[in-house]
Amino acid sequence: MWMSRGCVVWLLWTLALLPRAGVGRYSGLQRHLKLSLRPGPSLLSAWGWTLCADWLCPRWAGLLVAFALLTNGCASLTPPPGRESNLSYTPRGASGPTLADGPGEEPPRALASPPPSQPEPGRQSATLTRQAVFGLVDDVKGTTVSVASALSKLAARPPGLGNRGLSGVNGAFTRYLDYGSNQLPWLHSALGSTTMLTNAASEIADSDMELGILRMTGPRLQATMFGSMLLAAWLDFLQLADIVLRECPAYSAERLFMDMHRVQRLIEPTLSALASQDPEQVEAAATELPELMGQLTREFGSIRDGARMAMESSGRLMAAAQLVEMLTLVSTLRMSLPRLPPAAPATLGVGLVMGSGGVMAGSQIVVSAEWVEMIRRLVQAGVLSLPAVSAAVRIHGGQVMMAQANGDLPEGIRDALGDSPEVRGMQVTGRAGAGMSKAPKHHVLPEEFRAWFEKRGFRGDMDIDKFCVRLEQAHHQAIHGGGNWRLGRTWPNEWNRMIMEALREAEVEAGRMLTRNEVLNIVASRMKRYDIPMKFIQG
Amino acid sequence: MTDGRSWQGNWKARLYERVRERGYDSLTAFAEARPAVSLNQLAEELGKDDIAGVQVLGGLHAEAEQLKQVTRFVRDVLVRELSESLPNGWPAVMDDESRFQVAKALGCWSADTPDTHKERVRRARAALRATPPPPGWRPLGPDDELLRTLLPDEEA
Repeated sequence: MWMSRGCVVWLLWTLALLPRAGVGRYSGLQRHLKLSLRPGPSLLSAWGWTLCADWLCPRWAGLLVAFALLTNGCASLTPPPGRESNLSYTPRGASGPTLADGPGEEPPRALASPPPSQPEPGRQSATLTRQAVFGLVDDVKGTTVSVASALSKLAARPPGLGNRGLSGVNGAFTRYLDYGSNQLPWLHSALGSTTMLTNAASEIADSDMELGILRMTGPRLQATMFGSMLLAAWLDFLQLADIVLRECPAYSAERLFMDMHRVQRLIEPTLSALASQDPEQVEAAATELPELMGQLTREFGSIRDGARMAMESSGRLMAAAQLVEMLTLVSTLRMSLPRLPPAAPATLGVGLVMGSGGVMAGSQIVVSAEWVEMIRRLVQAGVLSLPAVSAAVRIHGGQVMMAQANGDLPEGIRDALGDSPEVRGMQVTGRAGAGMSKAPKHHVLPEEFRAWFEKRGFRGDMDIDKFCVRLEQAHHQAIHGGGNWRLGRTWPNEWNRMIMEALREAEVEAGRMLTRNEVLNIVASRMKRYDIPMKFIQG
Repeated sequence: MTDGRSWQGNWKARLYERVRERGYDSLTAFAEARPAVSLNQLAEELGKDDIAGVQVLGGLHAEAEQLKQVTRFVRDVLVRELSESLPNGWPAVMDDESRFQVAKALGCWSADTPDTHKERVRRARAALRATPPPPGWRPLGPDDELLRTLLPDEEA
């Protein structure tokens, strides 16, 4: 009796959630998965649903297979221990436990040819990096769009019995819905400027300058990548709250309100840091995100268990059982939070390994090889930082609860993600290490000629403040004449004077104003002449 | 990728050490043996990651002052600039792209010219604009005939 009732509830939820939350979320998978599982028409048409198999990821396939098994009474509803919530938000291509990836499958092989960090011709490298930026933007856009649509559906869902539900309770919970939707504008605008910069980069003739501009997108890309992840986590809490409000009157709305308040306060500082898009704040927020996700996972579990216990103690055992199923399903379908930590110490040894299909946790692919390849390119080009990328992999891999003091991933994964002495060197010189964070910022396009550059298109995301570099004192002096040859003259502001002269005289020769790309072309060749690294920071 | 290593340590000593290692006793001699090769390429040959083009430029200028051959040095700089921007010589058709490449080479030439010669270079550029060189013109060294007409030696 218990089982059959549970089955029905479970099936209703499976189907109800398919179009609402699932399909859109995994639209990015469409391109990467060649799954052609076509459920029999009778099975689905009975429910009035038409599903395109191409939109189904193996996770849904898994649910449908379970569906088929359940209808035949062949499967127990209770998920195996440790599996009840091990579906986590996974980036493109990665699937949950796939049909083929059962335990006992052959162990993951090492990646056949770990991508070596061989130098590529500059042009090709810039093109591939640009494609990777576009790929990641698409990925993040996909998540943002589905979160946005889930949020608006949640807000539009009419309150249930007793005016309960997120949109009910006299609007008490509206603030939490709003907190979610208030994040969308900055995400959209950051994604928009990333796309704009990437398009601008594609028009640059000089490949080093193109890479320099692509690197400018880094902090924004990182902010949106982790911002959308955290927003998806918040959405999970909203979905949970909606169900608890509707189905669990024994859990008071006040208590839930305070729960949500607590969770929001946990999320808020990190989300604000990401929204600032300040490179250093974003980097710090990204590297601390696995720990925060761990806290959120525990909060999620505790609210869920609290709701179940409230129902049980109110004596409504049957309803409690149904609620458990719904909550289980919500936690199964949630898109961001990783699974709870393995309870048994023996499984703590299950780490992440680089397999042929991607990064694997045990037999489960947590990020696809294609995603890893895209990320590797961005790490090697200096667009994304390795610590931030490692944090993303740990979150996707569900390894948020492990006390990894240094947050290091196994070497095989780090290598696949593009770790190399050069990349580490880039971080040391580019960030706090080696005293570079204290090195003075220098405008490559002289500040006193801001108006001149504005007229040539250096505005908004491409204004001259975006083209600053940090130079160590010795370098700075050398460029500004201090370390010059004793040439019998003084060049108090050699770089500024030189670059303005080159640009102005070029305009005299051309008989017209230079375009922004032409200015950048000349600036790129001059930067190379002076050995100024094309690592731009905001001035 | 440039990473700023050229400015670390005693770069002048490093520059001359590399020149001597290659069997030359001056930077000028090293450069003369590589006519019409861009300054960045010269720098790269001397030290792929730790010598900058502007250091080679400064060194050549300092030596030219000692030898009283600054005008010749200035012509040499243009030759190297042109070989980079217009590897196939002076363009036959002045479309937008080739006009820009000419403008870039000549604009950078002015910027690299020492103050003592800026005015003469400005006049030379005006003369080039008034009477462009024949299509395909590609000076192979500072003693190119047309260049010497444009910017004749004064020191001699």
